[in-house]
Amino acid sequence: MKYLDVVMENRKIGTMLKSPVYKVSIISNITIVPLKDILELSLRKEGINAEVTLGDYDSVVQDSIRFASFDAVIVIWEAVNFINGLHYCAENLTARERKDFRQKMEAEVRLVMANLRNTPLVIVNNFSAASSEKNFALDFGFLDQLCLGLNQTLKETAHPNQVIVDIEKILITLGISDAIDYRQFQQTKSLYTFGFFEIYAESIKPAFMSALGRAKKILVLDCDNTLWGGVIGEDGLEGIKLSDTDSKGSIFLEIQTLIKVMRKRGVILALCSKNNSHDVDNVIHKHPYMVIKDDEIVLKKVNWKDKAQNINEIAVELNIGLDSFVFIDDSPFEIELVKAALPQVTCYKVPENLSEYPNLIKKIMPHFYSLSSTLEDSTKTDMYKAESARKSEISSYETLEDYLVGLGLELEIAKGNNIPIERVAQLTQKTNQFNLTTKRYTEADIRNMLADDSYEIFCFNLSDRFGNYGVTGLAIISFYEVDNKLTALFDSFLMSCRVIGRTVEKQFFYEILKDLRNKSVYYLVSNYFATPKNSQVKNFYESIGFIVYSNKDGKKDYQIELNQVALEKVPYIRVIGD
Amino acid sequence: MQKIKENVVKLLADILDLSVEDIPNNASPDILERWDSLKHMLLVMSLEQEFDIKFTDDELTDLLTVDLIAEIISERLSND
Repeated sequence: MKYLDVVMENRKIGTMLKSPVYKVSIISNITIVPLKDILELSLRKEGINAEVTLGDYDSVVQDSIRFASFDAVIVIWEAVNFINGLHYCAENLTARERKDFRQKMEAEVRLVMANLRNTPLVIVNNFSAASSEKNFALDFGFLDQLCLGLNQTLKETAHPNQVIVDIEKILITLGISDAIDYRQFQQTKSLYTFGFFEIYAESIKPAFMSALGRAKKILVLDCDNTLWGGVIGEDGLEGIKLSDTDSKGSIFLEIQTLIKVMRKRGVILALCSKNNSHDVDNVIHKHPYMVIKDDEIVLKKVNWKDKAQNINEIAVELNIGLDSFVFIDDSPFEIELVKAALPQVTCYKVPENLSEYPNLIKKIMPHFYSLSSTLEDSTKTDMYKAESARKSEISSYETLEDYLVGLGLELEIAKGNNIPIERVAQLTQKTNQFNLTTKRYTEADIRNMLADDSYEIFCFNLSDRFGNYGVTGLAIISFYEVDNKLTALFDSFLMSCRVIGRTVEKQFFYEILKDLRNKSVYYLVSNYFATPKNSQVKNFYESIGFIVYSNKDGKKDYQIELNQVALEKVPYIRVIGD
Repeated sequence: MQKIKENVVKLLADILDLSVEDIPNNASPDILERWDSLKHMLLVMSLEQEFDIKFTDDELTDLLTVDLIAEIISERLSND
């Protein structure tokens, strides 16, 4: 696109957007005028009604105060223009002058970052002397060192809302000679080419999407020629390409590893493949090079149905909006079909040249990540770390019980108005495996139950000496009378898969029974509804002494008198507040 | 040459967000207030993209009026 085409299209699209204005400011010590229209258009195409205000020339510090209340601020601070002619006079500065200069710049960087610490999104380019290399500088060691030091300062001072852009990586994609144009530098202090600004705007777009809560959440993958080379139904386990010994197979190995990294960082994975499900399961369970395992896959739609329908089902089952979906497939037919039926889904086709495939995945990655390391994200990382610490300990104990004793499990139970409503609703929406009835509830449903005397909701927060798992278990109980005797029905009983295998469910149940006993409950009634995911709990109620009185079509009904339940306290779980 | 000049005027009008009629004959930054150094930089960028050329340093200093711009471009295009 030419600059004027961008301007014209931007003027047109600008009159069409009716959403509230999203105020962006670019503050800089060089001239970056063309970026205004390029960035506005790039964001407006995503439906973000961006309005870019350019700061005054070379007043980064003052502008960082002036624009701090904007929705987003971009800081383009060029080392070569810290002071006029720095790129050629840097080397002639005396040691004393250098020291003073370094201190001054460091103080300014800290000040600017501090001024912008409450702006919802700040994008700061890191400092680079790369642009001075070609036309002017030979090798000005001082400028490079200065940048190195200032980048360290940036890293130290950056708040979670402040994203540091590695400008050199963007320069490299174009090459200095195409990214930098010195012809008008002396006169207008413009440094970057139109082509550079285009790539720059695209590179920082994920930061905006993420800041606006529009980061992608789920990656849906085809299998044949997407996760491995070849077709499992035809080539068989031995025939598909997935290994480090052949060129095609090693690319798929790399792809799977990249995707696993994404999973580790919170991306939800699902499969959507036209195959016999046992063929795909066979690869997942038996192929020696398979990196992505069942644990990492939330849902598998391996069937012969239309992929748009499958993706739609995933969206419903997981309660995730279609605009949070990214779909990868090697078939242009499937890609076009999904694009046509579900335009909100972002689709990528596996490149014809497989060697370009890893770069495609790397390009997709940033669209998933919320840039902020918000409290939640950082605890998430802590949780992963804690989980791996737990795993490494497990081998040093003789029995599972020894291990559980050593964990120092602590259970904290909340009920009634003390429960976190949002999280509780989320648990009903997301929990599939340890879920006896798999009933999905919204926040409004939960609120209604809290206001209703015939319901009681319990949830628990579990921690151990490695960390906190958060609110990970839930029971919803409704009350009614049978023969004038108070009866408690376990409408929902579920636990996040994060805490399965620690016998917490028994202690949780034990605590609930104590409460029900105080309420003078006589009968307990419960159900198990079979789903494809919850077979591991099909005998849960039997295991705690309930008696089945009806069992048909995957539905079991139980009943027992409360005082007949012989459930014992789990000795190694400490109950807080007990 | 006339065609090139018309094209230059059109680009200039778009950059300055004016209509072609608002651009006086042989306009220059001296007589058109909106044509400041930043707009000039954007004009240069657009001219280079439109005519697929890259001005030399000397040419850049001579891009002073619409007529001079048209002349420099037509010279470049006939030499290439």
